[in-house]
Amino acid sequence: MAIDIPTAMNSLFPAGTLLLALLMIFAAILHINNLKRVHKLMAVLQHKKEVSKAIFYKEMTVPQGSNFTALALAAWIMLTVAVAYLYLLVPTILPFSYMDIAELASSTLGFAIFGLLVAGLAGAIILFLDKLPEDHRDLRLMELYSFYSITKTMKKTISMTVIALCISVLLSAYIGTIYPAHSQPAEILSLMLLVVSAGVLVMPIYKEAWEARR
Amino acid sequence: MPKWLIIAILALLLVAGLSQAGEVLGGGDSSGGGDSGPSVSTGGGGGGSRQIDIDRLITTVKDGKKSKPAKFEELRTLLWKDPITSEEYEWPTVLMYYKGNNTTVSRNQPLEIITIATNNNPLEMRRMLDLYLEVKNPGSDKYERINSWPEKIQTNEYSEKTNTTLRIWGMLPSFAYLKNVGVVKVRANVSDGVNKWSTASYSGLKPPYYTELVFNVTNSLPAMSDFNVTPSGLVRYNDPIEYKANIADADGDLLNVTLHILDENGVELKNETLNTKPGAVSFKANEYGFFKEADAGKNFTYYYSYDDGIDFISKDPVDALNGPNIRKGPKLSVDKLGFSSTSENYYWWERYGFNVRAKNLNPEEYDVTFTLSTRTGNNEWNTVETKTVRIGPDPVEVNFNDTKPFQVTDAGQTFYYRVKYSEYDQSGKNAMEQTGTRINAKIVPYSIYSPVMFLNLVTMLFLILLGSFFVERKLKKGVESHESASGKAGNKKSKKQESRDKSGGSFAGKVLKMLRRG
Repeated sequence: MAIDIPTAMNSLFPAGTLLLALLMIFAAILHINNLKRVHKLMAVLQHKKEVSKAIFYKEMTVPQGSNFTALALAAWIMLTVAVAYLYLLVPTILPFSYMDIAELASSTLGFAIFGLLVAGLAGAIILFLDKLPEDHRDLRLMELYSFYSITKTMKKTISMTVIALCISVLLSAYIGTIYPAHSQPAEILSLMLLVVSAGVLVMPIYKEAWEARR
Repeated sequence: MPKWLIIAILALLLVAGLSQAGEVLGGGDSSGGGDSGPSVSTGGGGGGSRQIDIDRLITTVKDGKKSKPAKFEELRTLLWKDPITSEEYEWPTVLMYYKGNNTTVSRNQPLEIITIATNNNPLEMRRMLDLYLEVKNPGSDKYERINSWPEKIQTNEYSEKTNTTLRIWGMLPSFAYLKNVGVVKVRANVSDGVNKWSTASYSGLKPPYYTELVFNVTNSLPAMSDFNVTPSGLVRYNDPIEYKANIADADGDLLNVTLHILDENGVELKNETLNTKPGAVSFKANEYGFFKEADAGKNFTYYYSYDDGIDFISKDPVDALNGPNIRKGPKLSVDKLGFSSTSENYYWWERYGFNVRAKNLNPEEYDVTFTLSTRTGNNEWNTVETKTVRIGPDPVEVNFNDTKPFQVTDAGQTFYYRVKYSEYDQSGKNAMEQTGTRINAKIVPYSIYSPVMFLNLVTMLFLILLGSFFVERKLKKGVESHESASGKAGNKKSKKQESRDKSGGSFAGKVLKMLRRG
């Protein structure tokens, strides 16, 4: 059966977007589920009806090191920036875009300003989550990896996502510079890097869920 | 003859008479319609008389009034009943009434002219009064009737207490219709069907009652002000020269305003009259063709004359005013308006060149100012550049090189360009306009390989990394691991730390210190 390449390419971008969204949604669900399961297990092991969440989180968390935590934070911010660059830079996907602010788009530091605005917003959300009460430490993104056992290789891989996300941003920026012209390969490659990076960033959650299942 | 016989005969006659009357008046039964009302016999002798009802009779009379006026008049004469005359009948008193003290009025001043009638006769003796208003205008020796149909005062409309009634003559609201001013007399003529008399026939009256109203009607003179000629200063003969002024008239008359244009010797060259209501007056030179090319270099003066149909002001202002002063100038011939771009892509950020060719059709040389403007879509014209070029009989290329007329918001739109000049060209216009081309829709003026893009991305990445490290160092989310790990080689690291602290004074040092910790 002959494959219609343009049709396949056209359906690749929505499929990738869907995959990215599902990856993140399932990661969030699994993360909460992982912690709930361990919380229950701890109560059983301690022969108690219930263990307080504060004690549970204190016992559960394993600090992963300053540099890794900083790089992981940078990776998450870069992930947000890469998503914004891919979906909000040009109006080919959404009806509104950075190109609508033509003065900014044409200015010398327009791309940097746009990226930093998105990064600032992501940083503000992360800091806001970090201020949540102790009972909701599971929602603190900066402490995400402290609930999981992460190998050095995994740490390196997570840190390397910053580079992959930089390449994704670069490809999206290229799409922006050629707008209103269009480059589908660049779009798909950028999305693929985004999906892979997101997958790596949430890999410890999936790994934990997988091991628990076994 | 016995008395009872006489009574019997009279009774028989009465019965016979009633029988006859019944035939004439008809009954409901005989007419065949129970509710058709009284009927009138139209039949002649014999037994077969035909009857019609009173509605038909009225319709017949109405028709007869139109179709046979002579017969109608004859019928009316037959039916005419003289008014009741009695020695006790008293002539009604009819007087003019005016509330104001000041009888000197301007032509357009609103008036309320009233006639008051007093009728002391009992109601059954009163007669309907017909009133006619009469006016004697200035310079006339006879009274003219104002109303062609009489104003009627019915017998039942007098006040029960005072036996008076009045008529306000709305048909004479003012004396605006007068073409001359002076003394105006107003009186009323009265008829009660038998007698005719005038309000002027009374004597010994005191205000506010008058035998006739006497008004001294005056006219308000129109007056002009705010004389002006635009544009001021030296102008070209075909500039939109406009003479402006205001004219006021308290009477609100229709005014004739004449503009007189004089040459340098005070000789009248032209005049134009405008029929206008009070307000702004304007004469546009180009509409009336006041000036021609041959007038270049001449200075003119002007004044106005005007009238309101009664009074005439022959010269206002008394000393003629200056204007316009027409300057000499070239007679431009302009053509070959075009543009060029640094590339065929027509990006908004590119440099564009525009040019136009001009020459003077007359032999002299003049400085002419050329202004280049551009616009996209329906936006306003945007002035790009202005330059003054000396134009003589030889064609001159006017170039606007290396201009940057567009902004990013113009991307994707068709542009238009225009060169405006300080003189008029061969078409009588002072500008030439052309449609350019569609500006490329590309917004970002640099490529991914450009240093600008490199600067953007590197700056962004660096600041994100720096920010992340800064936040982590502040919140110390991974510091416990670091501390536990540092227990083994704590002494070795503490020495290194000391040396780092020494170099951590500057901003760069602090940044490095922040990044090294781990």
